[in-house]
Amino acid sequence: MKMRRSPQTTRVLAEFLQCEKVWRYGYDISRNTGLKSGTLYPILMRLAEHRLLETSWETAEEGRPPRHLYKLTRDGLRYAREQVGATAVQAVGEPVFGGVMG
Amino acid sequence: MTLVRRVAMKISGVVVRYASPGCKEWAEGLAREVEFIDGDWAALGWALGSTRVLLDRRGAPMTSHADVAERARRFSESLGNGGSSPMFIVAFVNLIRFVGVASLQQRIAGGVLVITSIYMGFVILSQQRKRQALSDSVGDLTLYCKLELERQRDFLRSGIGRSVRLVGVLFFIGMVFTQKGGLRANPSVTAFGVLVCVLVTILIVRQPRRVQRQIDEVDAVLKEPR
Repeated sequence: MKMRRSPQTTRVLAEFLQCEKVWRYGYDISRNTGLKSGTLYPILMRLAEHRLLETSWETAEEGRPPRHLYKLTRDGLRYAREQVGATAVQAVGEPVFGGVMG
Repeated sequence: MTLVRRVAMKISGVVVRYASPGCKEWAEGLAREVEFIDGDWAALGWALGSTRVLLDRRGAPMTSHADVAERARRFSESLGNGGSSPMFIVAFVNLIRFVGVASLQQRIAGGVLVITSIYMGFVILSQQRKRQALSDSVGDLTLYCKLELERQRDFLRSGIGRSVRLVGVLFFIGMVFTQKGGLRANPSVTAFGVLVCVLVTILIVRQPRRVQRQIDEVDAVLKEPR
Protein backbone atom coordinates (compact mmCIF):
# COMPACT_ATOMS: atom_id res chain seq x y z
CA MET A 1 0.00 0.00 0.00
CA LYS A 2 1.30 3.45 -0.90
CA MET A 3 1.79 6.14 1.69
CA ARG A 4 -0.03 9.35 0.89
CA ARG A 5 2.43 12.21 0.45
CA SER A 6 1.23 15.53 1.76
CA PRO A 7 2.92 18.71 3.02
CA GLN A 8 1.63 17.91 6.51
CA THR A 9 3.17 14.43 6.46
CA THR A 10 6.47 15.92 5.29
CA ARG A 11 6.34 18.41 8.18
CA VAL A 12 5.83 15.59 10.66
CA LEU A 13 8.67 13.55 9.12
CA ALA A 14 10.96 16.59 9.17
CA GLU A 15 10.12 17.10 12.82
CA PHE A 16 11.09 13.51 13.63
CA LEU A 17 14.37 14.01 11.77
CA GLN A 18 15.29 16.84 14.16
CA CYS A 19 16.10 14.24 16.84
CA GLU A 20 16.08 10.87 15.13
CA LYS A 21 16.65 8.58 18.07
CA VAL A 22 14.48 10.34 20.63
CA TRP A 23 10.97 9.25 21.60
CA ARG A 24 8.56 12.13 21.05
CA TYR A 25 5.26 13.21 22.61
CA GLY A 26 2.25 13.89 20.38
CA TYR A 27 1.68 17.36 21.84
CA ASP A 28 5.30 18.38 21.27
CA ILE A 29 5.11 17.30 17.63
CA SER A 30 1.84 19.19 17.28
CA ARG A 31 3.34 22.35 18.78
CA ASN A 32 6.49 22.23 16.66
CA THR A 33 4.73 21.47 13.40
CA GLY A 34 1.69 23.67 14.03
CA LEU A 35 -0.63 20.76 13.21
CA LYS A 36 -3.84 20.22 15.17
CA SER A 37 -4.48 16.88 16.86
CA GLY A 38 -7.14 16.01 14.27
CA THR A 39 -4.56 16.36 11.48
CA LEU A 40 -1.50 15.02 13.27
CA TYR A 41 -2.87 11.75 14.65
CA PRO A 42 -4.25 10.35 11.37
CA ILE A 43 -0.74 10.96 9.94
CA LEU A 44 0.91 9.19 12.88
CA MET A 45 -1.57 6.32 12.55
CA ARG A 46 -0.84 5.97 8.84
CA LEU A 47 2.91 5.98 9.48
CA ALA A 48 2.50 3.29 12.15
CA GLU A 49 0.29 1.27 9.82
CA HIS A 50 3.11 1.22 7.27
CA ARG A 51 5.55 0.24 10.01
CA LEU A 52 7.40 3.52 9.61
CA LEU A 53 6.61 4.63 13.15
CA GLU A 54 6.86 2.75 16.41
CA THR A 55 4.86 3.59 19.48
CA SER A 56 5.45 3.03 23.14
CA TRP A 57 4.03 4.00 26.50
CA GLU A 58 6.10 6.07 28.86
CA THR A 59 7.01 4.42 32.15
CA ALA A 60 4.56 5.85 34.65
CA GLU A 61 5.95 8.24 37.22
CA GLU A 62 4.20 8.82 40.49
CA GLY A 63 1.22 11.14 40.14
CA ARG A 64 1.62 11.42 36.37
CA PRO A 65 -0.26 9.33 33.83
CA PRO A 66 1.96 7.57 31.26
CA ARG A 67 2.10 9.24 27.85
CA HIS A 68 2.16 7.75 24.39
CA LEU A 69 5.52 8.08 22.66
CA TYR A 70 6.51 7.98 19.01
CA LYS A 71 9.73 7.34 17.13
CA LEU A 72 10.50 6.53 13.49
CA THR A 73 11.62 3.00 12.71
CA ARG A 74 14.70 2.34 10.59
CA ASP A 75 12.48 2.14 7.49
CA GLY A 76 10.71 5.27 8.69
CA LEU A 77 13.97 7.19 8.97
CA ARG A 78 14.96 6.15 5.47
CA TYR A 79 11.55 7.15 4.13
CA ALA A 80 11.63 10.46 6.03
CA ARG A 81 15.05 11.39 4.61
CA GLU A 82 13.82 10.59 1.09
CA GLN A 83 10.61 12.56 1.46
CA VAL A 84 12.08 15.58 3.21
CA GLY A 85 15.00 15.60 0.77
CA ALA A 86 12.68 15.39 -2.24
CA THR A 87 10.56 18.24 -0.91
CA ALA A 88 13.66 20.39 -0.32
CA VAL A 89 14.89 19.76 -3.88
CA GLN A 90 11.43 20.55 -5.25
CA ALA A 91 11.30 23.79 -3.24
CA VAL A 92 14.71 24.89 -4.55
CA GLY A 93 13.62 24.16 -8.14
CA GLU A 94 10.40 26.14 -7.88
CA PRO A 95 10.53 29.70 -9.22
CA VAL A 96 9.93 32.46 -6.69
CA PHE A 97 6.92 34.76 -7.45
CA GLY A 98 5.93 32.49 -10.33
CA GLY A 99 8.90 33.63 -12.44
CA VAL A 100 10.18 31.68 -15.42
CA MET A 101 13.22 29.51 -14.81
CA GLY A 102 16.08 30.22 -17.12
CA MET B 1 -9.48 22.40 37.46
CA THR B 2 -11.37 24.86 35.28
CA LEU B 3 -14.65 24.09 33.54
CA VAL B 4 -13.04 24.28 30.10
CA ARG B 5 -10.36 21.77 31.12
CA ARG B 6 -13.02 19.50 32.58
CA VAL B 7 -15.00 19.62 29.32
CA ALA B 8 -11.80 18.78 27.41
CA MET B 9 -11.15 15.77 29.68
CA LYS B 10 -14.76 14.66 29.32
CA ILE B 11 -14.56 14.82 25.50
CA SER B 12 -11.30 12.83 25.56
CA GLY B 13 -12.94 10.23 27.79
CA VAL B 14 -15.82 9.88 25.33
CA VAL B 15 -13.36 9.51 22.43
CA VAL B 16 -11.48 6.73 24.28
CA ARG B 17 -14.73 5.00 25.13
CA TYR B 18 -16.18 5.00 21.63
CA ALA B 19 -12.98 4.59 19.59
CA SER B 20 -12.87 1.43 17.50
CA PRO B 21 -10.70 -1.42 18.86
CA GLY B 22 -7.96 -0.63 16.35
CA CYS B 23 -7.82 3.03 17.42
CA LYS B 24 -8.19 2.59 21.18
CA GLU B 25 -4.48 2.98 21.87
CA TRP B 26 -4.32 6.15 19.77
CA ALA B 27 -7.39 7.59 21.46
CA GLU B 28 -5.81 6.93 24.85
CA GLY B 29 -2.58 8.54 23.69
CA LEU B 30 -4.51 11.63 22.61
CA ALA B 31 -6.45 11.72 25.88
CA ARG B 32 -3.31 11.56 28.03
CA GLU B 33 -1.83 14.58 26.27
CA VAL B 34 -4.75 16.77 27.40
CA GLU B 35 -3.34 16.82 30.93
CA PHE B 36 0.01 18.13 29.70
CA ILE B 37 -1.27 20.98 27.55
CA ASP B 38 -0.68 24.37 29.17
CA GLY B 39 -3.71 26.42 28.17
CA ASP B 40 -7.27 25.30 28.92
CA TRP B 41 -8.59 26.42 25.56
CA ALA B 42 -5.69 24.72 23.80
CA ALA B 43 -6.59 21.55 25.70
CA LEU B 44 -10.19 21.90 24.56
CA GLY B 45 -9.05 22.37 20.95
CA TRP B 46 -6.86 19.28 21.25
CA ALA B 47 -9.75 17.24 22.67
CA LEU B 48 -12.13 18.42 19.94
CA GLY B 49 -9.55 17.51 17.29
CA SER B 50 -9.21 14.06 18.81
CA THR B 51 -12.86 13.29 17.95
CA ARG B 52 -11.65 12.66 14.39
CA VAL B 53 -10.34 9.31 15.63
CA LEU B 54 -13.97 8.25 16.03
CA LEU B 55 -14.38 8.28 12.25
CA ASP B 56 -11.71 5.62 11.85
CA ARG B 57 -13.57 2.37 12.41
CA ARG B 58 -10.97 -0.35 12.33
CA GLY B 59 -10.94 -3.68 14.06
CA ALA B 60 -8.29 -4.75 16.52
CA PRO B 61 -5.01 -5.10 14.61
CA MET B 62 -4.00 -8.62 13.58
CA THR B 63 -0.46 -8.94 14.85
CA SER B 64 -0.05 -12.71 15.22
CA HIS B 65 -1.05 -15.95 13.52
CA ALA B 66 -3.56 -16.52 16.33
CA ASP B 67 -5.26 -13.14 15.61
CA VAL B 68 -5.53 -13.98 11.89
CA ALA B 69 -6.86 -17.46 12.67
CA GLU B 70 -9.46 -15.94 14.99
CA ARG B 71 -10.57 -13.60 12.23
CA ALA B 72 -10.79 -16.52 9.79
CA ARG B 73 -12.89 -18.45 12.29
CA ARG B 74 -15.33 -15.54 12.43
CA PHE B 75 -15.47 -15.47 8.61
CA SER B 76 -16.19 -19.18 8.65
CA GLU B 77 -18.89 -18.87 11.30
CA SER B 78 -20.67 -16.13 9.36
CA LEU B 79 -21.10 -18.48 6.38
CA GLY B 80 -24.53 -19.63 7.43
CA ASN B 81 -25.87 -16.15 8.24
CA GLY B 82 -28.05 -14.91 5.40
CA GLY B 83 -27.53 -11.16 5.13
CA SER B 84 -29.91 -10.30 2.34
CA SER B 85 -33.26 -11.01 3.98
CA PRO B 86 -33.29 -7.81 6.12
CA MET B 87 -32.85 -5.73 2.95
CA PHE B 88 -35.86 -7.42 1.32
CA ILE B 89 -37.90 -6.81 4.49
CA VAL B 90 -36.86 -3.12 4.43
CA ALA B 91 -37.96 -2.96 0.77
CA PHE B 92 -41.32 -4.57 1.54
CA VAL B 93 -42.04 -2.34 4.57
CA ASN B 94 -41.21 0.81 2.62
CA LEU B 95 -43.32 -0.28 -0.31
CA ILE B 96 -46.35 -0.60 1.98
CA ARG B 97 -45.54 2.62 3.88
CA PHE B 98 -45.11 4.94 0.93
CA VAL B 99 -47.39 3.56 -1.76
CA GLY B 100 -50.35 5.59 -0.55
CA VAL B 101 -48.76 8.81 0.76
CA ALA B 102 -49.82 12.09 -0.78
CA SER B 103 -46.43 13.86 -0.68
CA LEU B 104 -44.48 13.47 -3.91
CA GLN B 105 -41.15 13.90 -2.08
CA GLN B 106 -41.95 11.04 0.28
CA ARG B 107 -43.13 8.83 -2.56
CA ILE B 108 -39.94 9.38 -4.55
CA ALA B 109 -37.76 8.84 -1.44
CA GLY B 110 -39.76 5.70 -0.57
CA GLY B 111 -39.25 4.45 -4.12
CA VAL B 112 -35.51 5.08 -3.80
CA LEU B 113 -35.48 3.10 -0.53
CA VAL B 114 -37.37 0.18 -2.10
CA ILE B 115 -35.19 -0.01 -5.23
CA THR B 116 -31.88 0.44 -3.37
CA SER B 117 -32.72 -2.15 -0.71
CA ILE B 118 -33.83 -4.72 -3.32
CA TYR B 119 -30.59 -4.10 -5.27
CA MET B 120 -28.43 -4.45 -2.16
CA GLY B 121 -30.36 -7.57 -1.13
CA PHE B 122 -29.65 -9.28 -4.46
CA VAL B 123 -25.98 -8.29 -4.44
CA ILE B 124 -25.52 -9.57 -0.87
CA LEU B 125 -27.27 -12.80 -1.88
CA SER B 126 -24.97 -13.27 -4.86
CA GLN B 127 -21.86 -12.53 -2.80
CA GLN B 128 -22.55 -14.95 0.04
CA ARG B 129 -19.52 -17.10 0.69
CA LYS B 130 -19.66 -20.77 -0.07
CA ARG B 131 -16.09 -21.78 0.66
CA GLN B 132 -14.95 -22.82 4.09
CA ALA B 133 -11.48 -23.21 5.53
CA LEU B 134 -9.94 -26.59 4.71
CA SER B 135 -9.30 -27.38 8.36
CA ASP B 136 -9.07 -25.76 11.77
CA SER B 137 -5.27 -25.57 11.66
CA VAL B 138 -3.78 -22.10 12.09
CA GLY B 139 -2.02 -22.36 8.70
CA ASP B 140 -5.23 -23.15 6.80
CA LEU B 141 -7.21 -20.51 8.67
CA THR B 142 -4.56 -17.86 7.95
CA LEU B 143 -4.60 -18.69 4.25
CA TYR B 144 -8.41 -18.72 4.26
CA CYS B 145 -8.50 -15.30 5.93
CA LYS B 146 -6.14 -13.85 3.31
CA LEU B 147 -8.15 -15.31 0.42
CA GLU B 148 -11.41 -14.09 1.94
CA LEU B 149 -10.09 -10.55 2.42
CA GLU B 150 -8.71 -10.49 -1.13
CA ARG B 151 -12.09 -11.64 -2.42
CA GLN B 152 -13.77 -8.79 -0.52
CA ARG B 153 -11.24 -6.27 -1.85
CA ASP B 154 -11.67 -7.44 -5.44
CA PHE B 155 -15.43 -7.24 -5.07
CA LEU B 156 -15.28 -3.70 -3.64
CA ARG B 157 -13.04 -2.62 -6.52
CA SER B 158 -15.30 -4.20 -9.16
CA GLY B 159 -18.10 -2.36 -10.95
CA ILE B 160 -20.78 -4.03 -8.84
CA GLY B 161 -18.85 -3.23 -5.65
CA ARG B 162 -18.65 0.43 -6.63
CA SER B 163 -22.34 0.50 -7.57
CA VAL B 164 -23.28 -1.00 -4.18
CA ARG B 165 -21.41 1.76 -2.40
CA LEU B 166 -23.23 4.39 -4.45
CA VAL B 167 -26.57 2.66 -3.86
CA GLY B 168 -25.78 2.49 -0.13
CA VAL B 169 -25.34 6.26 -0.04
CA LEU B 170 -28.59 6.74 -2.03
CA PHE B 171 -30.36 4.50 0.49
CA PHE B 172 -29.42 6.80 3.37
CA ILE B 173 -30.33 9.91 1.37
CA GLY B 174 -33.69 8.27 0.70
CA MET B 175 -34.14 7.76 4.43
CA VAL B 176 -33.62 11.49 5.08
CA PHE B 177 -36.16 12.48 2.44
CA THR B 178 -38.91 10.11 3.65
CA GLN B 179 -39.66 12.38 6.61
CA LYS B 180 -43.28 13.19 7.17
CA GLY B 181 -44.08 16.81 6.33
CA GLY B 182 -40.92 17.34 4.29
CA LEU B 183 -37.43 18.46 5.20
CA ARG B 184 -38.42 21.93 6.43
CA ALA B 185 -40.97 20.56 8.87
CA ASN B 186 -38.27 18.96 11.05
CA PRO B 187 -35.01 20.89 10.67
CA SER B 188 -33.31 19.16 13.62
CA VAL B 189 -34.24 15.69 12.32
CA THR B 190 -33.04 16.73 8.86
CA ALA B 191 -29.73 18.00 10.24
CA PHE B 192 -29.26 14.75 12.16
CA GLY B 193 -30.14 12.72 9.05
CA VAL B 194 -27.66 14.68 6.93
CA LEU B 195 -24.96 14.15 9.56
CA VAL B 196 -25.66 10.40 9.59
CA CYS B 197 -25.57 10.40 5.77
CA VAL B 198 -22.16 12.11 5.75
CA LEU B 199 -20.73 9.70 8.35
CA VAL B 200 -22.11 6.65 6.57
CA THR B 201 -20.74 7.93 3.25
CA ILE B 202 -17.27 8.36 4.78
CA LEU B 203 -17.40 4.82 6.19
CA ILE B 204 -18.64 3.35 2.90
CA VAL B 205 -16.01 5.18 0.83
CA ARG B 206 -13.23 4.06 3.18
CA GLN B 207 -14.26 0.40 3.12
CA PRO B 208 -11.81 -0.78 0.39
CA ARG B 209 -8.96 0.94 2.20
CA ARG B 210 -9.94 -0.81 5.43
CA VAL B 211 -9.94 -4.23 3.75
CA GLN B 212 -6.57 -3.50 2.10
CA ARG B 213 -5.16 -2.55 5.50
CA GLN B 214 -6.29 -5.91 6.89
CA ILE B 215 -4.66 -7.71 3.95
CA ASP B 216 -1.42 -5.84 4.71
CA GLU B 217 -1.68 -6.90 8.34
CA VAL B 218 -2.12 -10.55 7.33
CA ASP B 219 0.82 -10.27 4.90
CA ALA B 220 3.01 -8.84 7.66
CA VAL B 221 2.02 -11.71 9.97
CA LEU B 222 2.73 -14.27 7.25
CA LYS B 223 6.23 -12.85 6.81
CA GLU B 224 7.01 -13.36 10.49
CA PRO B 225 8.44 -16.74 11.54
CA ARG B 226 5.96 -18.94 13.39
